[in-house]
Parts: sequence; C-alpha cells; structure tokens
Amino acid sequence: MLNTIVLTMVMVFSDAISDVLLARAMKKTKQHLHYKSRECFSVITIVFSVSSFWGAVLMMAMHFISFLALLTYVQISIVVPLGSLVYIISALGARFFLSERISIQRWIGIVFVGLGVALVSCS
Amino acid sequence: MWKSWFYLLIAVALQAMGNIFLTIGMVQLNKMGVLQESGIGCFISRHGWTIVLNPWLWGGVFCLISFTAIFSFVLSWTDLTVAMPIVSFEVIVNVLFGWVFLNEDISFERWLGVGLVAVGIALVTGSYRQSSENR
Repeated sequence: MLNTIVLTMVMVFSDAISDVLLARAMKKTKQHLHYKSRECFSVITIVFSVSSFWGAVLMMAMHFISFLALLTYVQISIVVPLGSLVYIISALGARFFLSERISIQRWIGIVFVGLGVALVSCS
Repeated sequence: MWKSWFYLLIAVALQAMGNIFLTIGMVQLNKMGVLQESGIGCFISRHGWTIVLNPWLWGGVFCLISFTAIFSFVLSWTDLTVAMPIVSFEVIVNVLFGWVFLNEDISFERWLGVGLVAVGIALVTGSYRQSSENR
C-alpha cells in the first residue's frame, strides 16, 4: 500500500514538474531569441542549452517509469484517473514557479478538466 | 488565442494518431508472438529487428515527438495553465470517435466526464481571453 502511494506521488509530481520545467525552458528560449537569429537550428541549439529542458526530459522519463511500474500491480482504471491530479499540481507549479496569474474562473476550469478526465478514464 | 488553439489542435491530432499507431504496432507484435518471450534480453536478441523495422511503432514515436515539439513551441508564448487543459481536448475526440465510428456504448459517467472537460476548456479559454484583454 505504501509503495503504491509513493509511486503514485512520484508519477503525478514528476509529470507536473516536467510540465513546469518545459514551460520555463521555452520561455527562456523565447527571451534568448530576442537577441539571436530565429533560424530553426539556432532555436534547437538554444533549447538544448537550457538546463530546465534537460530537467524536464529527466522528469518525463521518471514519470513514464513510475507509470509503468504502477501498471504492473495496479489497474489502469485506477492509475489514469489518479494521474489527472497533474492538472491541479501543474497549475500550482505554474502559479508559484512561473508566476502565472490564474483567475478563479481558470481555477474552476482546471478543476473541471481534471474531474472530467478522471471520470472518462475510470468509467 | 486562436494561434494557440490552432497549434494545440494539431498537437492533439498528432497525439491521438501516435497512440493509435503505437497500439496497432504493439497488437501486431503480440499477434506475431513477439511479446510472449520470457526475459527482456531474450526478447530483444530474438526479435530486435522485428521491433526496429515495425513502421507503426516508428510512426507512433514520430507523432508523439512531434506532439511534444509543438506543445513546447506553444508554451513559449502561452500560459501552461491554458495549454494543458486545451490538450485534454483529446479525451473528447477519443470518446466521440469511439461513439461515431466504432459504435461503442458510452456510459453516462463518460458523457458527464466529456461535458466537464468541455466546460472546463471553455472556462479556461474565456479566462485567458479576459486576462490578455486586461494586459
């Protein structure tokens, strides 16, 4: 039981952290692009040189491994709805680490989307 | 806003196609008996080329990489809290696709879920429009 809780936390948080890091990496890339050329190759070079991007890749890998590990002993109809918690946790990450302004209307929308995804995947 | 929607809808289509291609590829491998091997080493040494040369798996991987690239591209100008809910539009597409083309029975809970996702996306899109007008 403890293993399941820990793995679920790792799965959800690694997914949310990867989204926040990816968003941060892309915003940094956009800032760099104001000073450099906008060629496709230079965009890719800048993205690869941002440390947040590699952090995001690492977190994506961790999410995938923990998701597969959970599937070995927990039903997919339980794992996927639990994964929809990522909408709320990513939004919290975006609020505190990316300083996004989130209105009450957007919060309600995010909660609705999370609940909807959970309902569709568990029914 | 429409620019974000345009790119995210392409991303959603690529994600759905990627998942379908991967499923077809894995079902093909399963039918060929590739996945019945015991031990990952034995499995790869015997059937490595069958897996590597499977076009469906490559198609799936290509689509999912393209999805990630487009999603990242959109994140360079849109809020994460807007892009993520819009990507969940895939859930609605999947259910409607199953209902229309595969004649699947959709339970009340599923329709309720689809409705919640649709309302949620509408609320998020509306909030983004308001905040960009206020900026």
